Formats: sequence, structure tokens, C-alpha cells
Amino acid sequence: MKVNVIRYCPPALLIGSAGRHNAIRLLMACALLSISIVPSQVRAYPVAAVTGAPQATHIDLYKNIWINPGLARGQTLRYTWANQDNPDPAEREIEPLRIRVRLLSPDRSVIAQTEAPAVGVGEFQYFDFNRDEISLPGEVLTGRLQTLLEATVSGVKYRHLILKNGIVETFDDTIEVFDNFVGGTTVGYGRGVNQIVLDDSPGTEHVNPDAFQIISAGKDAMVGLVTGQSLRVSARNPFDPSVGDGRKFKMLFAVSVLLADGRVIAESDEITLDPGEFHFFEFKRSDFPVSGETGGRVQARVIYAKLRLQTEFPSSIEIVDGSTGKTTLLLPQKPKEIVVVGSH
Amino acid sequence: MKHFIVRIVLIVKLTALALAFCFLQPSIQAQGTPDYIVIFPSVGLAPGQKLRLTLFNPAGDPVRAQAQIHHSGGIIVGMGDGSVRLVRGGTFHSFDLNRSDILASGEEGTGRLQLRASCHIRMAQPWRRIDGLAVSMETIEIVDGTSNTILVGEVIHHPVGGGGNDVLVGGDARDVLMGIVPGQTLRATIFNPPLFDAGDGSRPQDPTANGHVKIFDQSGILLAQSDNAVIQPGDFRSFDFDRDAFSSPGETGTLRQQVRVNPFFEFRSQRLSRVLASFEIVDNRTGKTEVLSGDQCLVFFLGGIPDN
Repeated sequence: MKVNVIRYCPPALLIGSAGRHNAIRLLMACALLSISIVPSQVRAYPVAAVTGAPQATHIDLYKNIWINPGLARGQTLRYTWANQDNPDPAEREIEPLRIRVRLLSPDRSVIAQTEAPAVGVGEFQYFDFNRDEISLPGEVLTGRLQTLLEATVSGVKYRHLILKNGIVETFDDTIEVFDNFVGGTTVGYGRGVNQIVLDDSPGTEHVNPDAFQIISAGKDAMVGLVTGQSLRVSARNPFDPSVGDGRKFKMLFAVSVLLADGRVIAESDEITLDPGEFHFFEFKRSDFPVSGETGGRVQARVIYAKLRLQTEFPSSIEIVDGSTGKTTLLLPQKPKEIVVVGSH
Repeated sequence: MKHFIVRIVLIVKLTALALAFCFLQPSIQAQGTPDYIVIFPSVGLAPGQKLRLTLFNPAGDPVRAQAQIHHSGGIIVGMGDGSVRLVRGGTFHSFDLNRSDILASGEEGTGRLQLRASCHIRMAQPWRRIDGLAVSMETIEIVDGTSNTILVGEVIHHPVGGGGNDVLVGGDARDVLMGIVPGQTLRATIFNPPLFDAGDGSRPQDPTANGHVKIFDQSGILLAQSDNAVIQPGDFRSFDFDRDAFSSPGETGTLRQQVRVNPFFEFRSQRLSRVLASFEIVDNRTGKTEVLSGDQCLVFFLGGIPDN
């Protein structure tokens, strides 16, 4: 009990007492000894209560850097992240727990940052940077900011992941710039589920410095659309009907549209594409039974479903203006995120 | 005395050695310093717009970068102030070019210029690879700073040398699905990369790119086909498909026509590089690109000795 009192007293209150001085010296010596023996943990702290795994630690799992979301006045930059981890908790290699998103200037200084707990598996969330809420002057006349966006996902890694065995389908993300007034996306990029490939076992870092990387695969996308717009999702059966041995390679094609909480808001029929044929499904914003954000914008996740084809096939996802029929946004298929700096 | 002479001789030898080392060192570094060129898919620039190339060096050693654009007439225009920029690790740099900086009159009616951009990159350290750098290309409205289009590319190193034929047909990036409405033109631009000396003694056998572009509807019916074209190394060629020239009625209300664009260009060469394609939807009235889709950037290893 006495020790506890000394431990929590401010140092100024202890001056003038020899006994207490001895106790202080003893405690200081113990503290110094313990500090020198027990190294401090930097960025790693146990979260056994969350994981239940004996060696799990809460660390920065991966860092994803996006080049160049130029942002002008009246616009908002949106980073959308979907948790695509394994639905079975027992099979997960990692457990995303928190996301920190930073907007960086050319010299890497922080312009703005935000963070939030990671959503559950099958859900997505987004982080907004409104140009009008950033006080930096930006470029002359327009106020445009040329930036980097850095997203760091921290959480639990259950074990060392070894290359080849360590391919983890874990997340999907995208960048959009949209107009604050109308809400419609003007530019955007990033499609497909990401995989982490890494070998972070001790002693291997120097053997293959490129071992930790993120690759993207798949054709899914996350994008926002507003009232008066529609989402057009296309796919083509890549087989050429005029070549080969005459066999017909048919391709099933269907699309699902999901909300942030994972609910399916729209689904297409399932159709069969003959070799060489392409087809599109159109989803009107006005058909979605949700009010959405201010301006009616709905952030949606588009999933190519019912695919029975093991080969690559051409596809596209467009935002189409309902009144003119013009494509206002064509989401590029590749590449996805641009630079990835892994952290262990 | 003998010790003195020996010492003098030793000093002279050491001085000579130091001088030789001073002279030799730059050439050793220069020969080992990788030198690359990154070539972007073609894009058009209309009056009131500017083109912005951005290079991001994620980490490590600095790189030297210089951006250039060419138009179909082959004129080279420096971007930014045309000088070489040092891009330190962890930072990025943007190169700008306003349409008004180019004196060429451009296309009739709109003043649009079809351009090809490239970025010359020199690594600061010998034997460093270019992998990991990222580049982007944007067309920007000068009046308000908003981006009209953006194309982002990871710099992926393509080996140079070795044999092989590359036929541009089909494939994911080459088989584009998009829609156009009256008042818009779909423009496909094919660029045949120039003959870079790979330093391995290999010479291309037939460096021209020969072919055409086809437009299909959903059922695979041919809507339009360009003339055959022969594109010389270093040149690019655009193929326009005006929606108003299609006989198909399109969709009810908007007359929008959903199409599949399929360039077919045969390219035979001893090198592995291929032609580079871009696809744009252009507003006929303003000449501005409203939608841009394109291949990955091409990257060539040049070797050579830096002159900056």
C-alpha cells in the first residue's frame, strides 16, 4: 500500500524524507533495471482478448498509397474500403481492426487525416476529404490540391505468412472525386479484390525485398451514383466463335449491387453469353429503395456473380447519365492501387 | 634520404591513384545508372485544358525525371519548364502543359491536339530497378482545376531483347466495352513505339504496325471498320468513329450505342514491346475527351550515360 502511495505521488511531495528517498532510489533502480531488460514495444501490443490467438499482435498490416487524386474546390475525395476477409474466423490469417487515411502533400506532409474502426467482413466504409474544409491555398486561381492518399490498415496477424502460402484475399478499395453540389463522381479508379502476398517470416526480409506486396484481381467495383444516373455493367464472352474445334464455350453472367452494410440492393437475371457475345445490365439509381446521402448519392458495391469461366474476360463498369445517355465515368479495370509499402 | 625518396614516390603514386579514381568514378557510376523511358497511351488536349503528368517515387533513392509530349507531327514539347527534376524518395512531382503553350492550330473546329506523353527517368543509383514508381496522366480544366480524365499506371518493367511476335487482338485491355451518343466520337489511337537500342545487338525485323480497328454491337455485328493503316516506329495514328455516322438506331430516348472496340494490329519484331492503345470518347463540339481508357504504360530500359 505504501509503495502504491509513493508510486503515485508527484516527486515534489517526496523531498525531505530520507526513508522515502531510499524507497525512491530503490524504485528508480528497479525501474531503470526493468527498462533496460524489457524492451519497449513499438506499434505492437497484445490484443489477446480480441483474437484468442496465442501470438497475435496488433500491428500495421498493410499500407496502401494512391497517387494523384487531384482535388479542386467544390469537390470531395472519397476513399472506399471493403472488408473481404475470410468469412470463417477460424480460417483468417489477419484481422483488420482499424483504418487510418491520410491526405499527403508532395513532400509527404499531412494535409488531413481521419480514421475509424474497420467494418465487418462483407461490409464497406468510406472516408471523405472535402476540399472546401481544407484551409491550404492550393494552386493559383483554382485552389486545386495535388495529393497522395495513404490508407493504413492495422489489426491482428495470427501467424507469420509465408510466400505462396501467404496469399490472402482481404480487401477491395477505390478512389473517387465527386462534386459536392451534385454528388456525382467525376473521376475514379480502382477495381478488384486485393490480395496480399508476403513472406514476413523472420530472417527472410532481405532475401526477397519485394515479397510484401498487394496485387489486385477480380472485376468488382465500388462507386457512387446519384439521381438521374444509372450503373451499366458489361461483360463479354472472350471465346471466338470462328476458331477452334467448333465447341461452344458458354459463359454465365449475372450482377449484384450491394450497400455498405452488405445488403443486396439490386440483382440482375442470370444469362448465358454465347462465344463472342457481350451484354450489359443497367441499374437505375431511381430504382434503389434507399434515400442515400445528401443529393441522393448512393455508394454501392458491384459484384460480378455467377461466373463459370476460368479465363480472363473483357468487362466494363460505367456511370451513365439517364437523360443524355452519356458515359460520365468509365471505371478502369487495371491498375488498381498504385504503390504499396508493406509494414510488418 | 632513401626513406624520403620512397615516401615521395609513394605520395606521387597515391596522388596518381586518387586522380585516376576521381576520373574513373563518374564513368563507373554512369554506366551502371539505369535509364528508362515511360510512354503513356495517347490522349487529346482541347483549348482550356492542360495535361498533367505526375511521377511518384515511393521510397528509397531519388530519381531524375523529365517529361515530354509529342503530337502526331512529331513535335516535342517539354512539360513544366522542360527541365530535369529530382524526385526524392517518398515524394512526387507533377509536370504541366497547357494547350495554349502549343502553337499548332489543332483539329478543325475544336483546336484539339492528339498527344503522346512520355517521361524520361534516370535512377540515381547504379543497378536500381524502376519497379515501384507510379505515374499518372490527367487532363485538367484550367478554369476550375477539376480533372476530366485520369489514367494511372504502375511502372512495370518489361524486359527488352529476345525474340517474339506480338499480335494486338482481343485481350482485356484491348477489347473495350463502352457507349457513345450522338455528338460524340469514339477515338482509338494506336502508337508504335520507337526503336530503342536495347544494347544487346538485336535489331527488329519488321517494326511497322499494320492493321485496323473494328466496332461491334452486342450481337457481334460489325458496325464500323477503319481503313488499314501502317504505323511507323515512333508514330501514332487515331481512328475516329462518329456516333452520327452509325446507321444503327441505338437505345430508345438517348440513341446511345453500346459498342465493343476491337483494334487488330499485327506487330512483328524481335523485341517484346508492343503497340500501345488508348480509347477516348470525344465531344464533337468542344474536342474535349470525356472518357479515357487505355493500356498500361510502356517502359523501356535505355541504359546509357546520364548527361545531367
